[in-house]
Amino acid sequence: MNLLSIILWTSVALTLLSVFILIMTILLRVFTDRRLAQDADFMNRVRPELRAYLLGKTSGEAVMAILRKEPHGGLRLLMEESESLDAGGREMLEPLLKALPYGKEELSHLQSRHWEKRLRGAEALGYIGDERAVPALMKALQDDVLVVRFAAAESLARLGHQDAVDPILQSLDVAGDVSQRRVAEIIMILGARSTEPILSILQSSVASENSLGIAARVAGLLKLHRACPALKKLLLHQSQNVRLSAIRSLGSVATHGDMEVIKAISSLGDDSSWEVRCNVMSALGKLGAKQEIPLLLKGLSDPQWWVRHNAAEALYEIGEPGILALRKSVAEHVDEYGRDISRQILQQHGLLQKTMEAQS
Amino acid sequence: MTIIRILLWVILCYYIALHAIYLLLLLLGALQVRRYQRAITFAEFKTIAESHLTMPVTLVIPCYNEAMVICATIRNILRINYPQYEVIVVSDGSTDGTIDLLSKSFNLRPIERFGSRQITTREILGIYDSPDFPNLVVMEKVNGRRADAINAAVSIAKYPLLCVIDADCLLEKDALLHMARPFLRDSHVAAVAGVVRPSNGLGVVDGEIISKGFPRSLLGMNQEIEYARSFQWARIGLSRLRSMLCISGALILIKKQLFEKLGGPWPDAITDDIEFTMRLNRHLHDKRLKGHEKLVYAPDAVCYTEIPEKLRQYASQRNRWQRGTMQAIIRNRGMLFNPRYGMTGLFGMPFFLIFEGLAAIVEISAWILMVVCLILGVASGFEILLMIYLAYILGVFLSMAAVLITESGRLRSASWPEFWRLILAIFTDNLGFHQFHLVTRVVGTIEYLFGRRDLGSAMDRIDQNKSIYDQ
Repeated sequence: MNLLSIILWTSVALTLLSVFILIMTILLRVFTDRRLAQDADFMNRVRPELRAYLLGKTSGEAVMAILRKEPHGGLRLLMEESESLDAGGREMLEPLLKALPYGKEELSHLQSRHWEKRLRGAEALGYIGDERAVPALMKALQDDVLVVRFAAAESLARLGHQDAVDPILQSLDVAGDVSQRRVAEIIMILGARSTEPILSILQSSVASENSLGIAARVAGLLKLHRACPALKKLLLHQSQNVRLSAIRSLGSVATHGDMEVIKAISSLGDDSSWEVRCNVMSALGKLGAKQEIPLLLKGLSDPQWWVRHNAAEALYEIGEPGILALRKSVAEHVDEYGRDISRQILQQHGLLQKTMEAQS
Repeated sequence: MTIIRILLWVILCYYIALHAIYLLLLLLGALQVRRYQRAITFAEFKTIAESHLTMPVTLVIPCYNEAMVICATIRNILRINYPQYEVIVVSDGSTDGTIDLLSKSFNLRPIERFGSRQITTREILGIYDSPDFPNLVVMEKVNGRRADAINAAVSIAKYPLLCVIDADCLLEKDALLHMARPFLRDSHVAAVAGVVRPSNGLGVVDGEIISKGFPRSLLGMNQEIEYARSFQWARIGLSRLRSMLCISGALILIKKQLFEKLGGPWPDAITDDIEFTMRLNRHLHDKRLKGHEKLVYAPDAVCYTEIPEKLRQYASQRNRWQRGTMQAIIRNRGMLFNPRYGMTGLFGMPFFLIFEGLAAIVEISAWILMVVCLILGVASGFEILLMIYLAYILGVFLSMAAVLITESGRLRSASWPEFWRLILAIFTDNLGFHQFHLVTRVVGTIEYLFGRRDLGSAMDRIDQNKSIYDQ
């Protein structure tokens, strides 16, 4: 076959392929339009009924009659509604989710070879609220794919399964600030039910660094005052991440003016990590650490902008003596950066003009 | 005759290699989009939008004489769906009254604001905030090109993520949520690129996108196709191959720490976005640094930018892009065929040089060669026509595939008439428009070689201060 024939046949093949793609695109549009219209029609029928049911104006049977005709669309709608409702509203949706033939298919999805299917199954089971899904979700916590483990953990938390805290922390023993934030947020869904497991992890001597870091975060988010002694001990932990989480949380859970905690936190004011120093400044501000004003003034000239910023904010947060120190440092701080950040924070709080007038 | 035959074979091999790579990118792009869409969970974006732990973002909008569009862009940005963000607008020595306009529109007042000052920039003349919009900051500085304006904004940016967008851009309401998602799923993500589409044809009222549509002109429609090809499969495929060497400056989200480490975009760059992306790749894929950070692409984070609909402006823009591409490649030539940069050095950079930087020269040479062949009788009229048809149908095939991918996602065209206009543009793209594009790029290459480094003429903007009903 010579070159010309190759070009000729390639051109013919490409022409046919292009026509084929065009037809495919047209068909795709037609079917997509039709599906969207059907979805819209279904939603228009079921939404008013569901609203009436949530207001107690109609029975669950009327809604279920429509939902049964389109179980997949129905599940999606119920999940959507569940996201926008409060706890009481979500409770009203539970009978609908349990009465409909949901669950079996999602449970079988957890066994799928495709991780995307396992992910969807794990996510949906949390909304369906069927306690029978707990063993399967616990098993899904061992999945090879991290996002599936995250979805299973979130579903277990949604189901209010208190015993899941430990397995969640074990399966999501992940490093990195963002991942740990996500795990902390998932455990937060359990609310006060996670208190005891979190306290026992904080006091455990065998818990991993990551688990300790996450547990310390959750303690702060839940404002667990009882966690103070354990958190104080973690300030000396060798892992920077654990120290960071402990400082952050102590700023939220310790009593305002608690001398012991303030002393322990301020001992990290010269930490080699700027993130630690940054959080030390914030925590001292939150705890009203008047006696640490010299440390905060030193922080105003830290090489890192965020440390300077948090030190200035902390001085403002401390109240009168802190603000006075901040005003003085506008003119008297030895470091240019310290003077600048003091001006910025005073102005942010509407105090710069007064300071300038007083000084002139 | 032998030389001509050899040249013919060289060009044919070039075409075969180029389209084989395009086909590979197309398949990879389609697979990636499908995988991406299937991995999105039901409440994922809602969780990101409502979470107190989502990483806050500083949005940077550099502008130079953009009074016609800047207010609409800011209003659009102030409406986006994201839990915590600040907007820093930098007027880079504008002479069209941008600062006065912003002062009036947003009730600006001067403030004291001092940042990390990691990157040296031209003098900052003033910083303002707005009591009506607490997350808006405006900076006025001495003119120093777009890169300098971005660096100045970064010096006072507060948050760990930076999003740089152009002054004529409009973001979809959830675009930032879609861009932040990869950072939340993988701590190794260093930067995320989004999709850019033409904004000409959108219905915009007070910065809000109220209707979608395509540009009215044929030139605009052809660029719509070009953007779809580039963003719907080429970049996704390239990102899979660690070879996405051009992230549009119109939309990028990057870790601030990394941005500062790289020293920000180069102020003397003709196209700072291309040069910065190459340097970013150089840093991320340097095996000596043993980093695990990566660059990813979010195919559903959409930003709309204004495209030129007049030939003169189009030529000027493409000329600048071509000169910028050449400059960026030459500045980062150390990556070319260098195994230290893995796939990026061995495939990405050579691809960018051979099939992007030099593509226009090869293609124009092919056209000239065909005419020479016809004159010298090396090839018959039928053979030449057949080769032209092959080039034409290859373009149609790739564009058609891009439309199929677009239509299968949520970025599908709004109506049937718009869809048919898009199809019509595919068939007319290679009938003059594409060739004109090639000429502008060849001129750009020659001018670059003769030392031209300016930014070309500014684009005429559509006045976004008027409502669409006045246009």
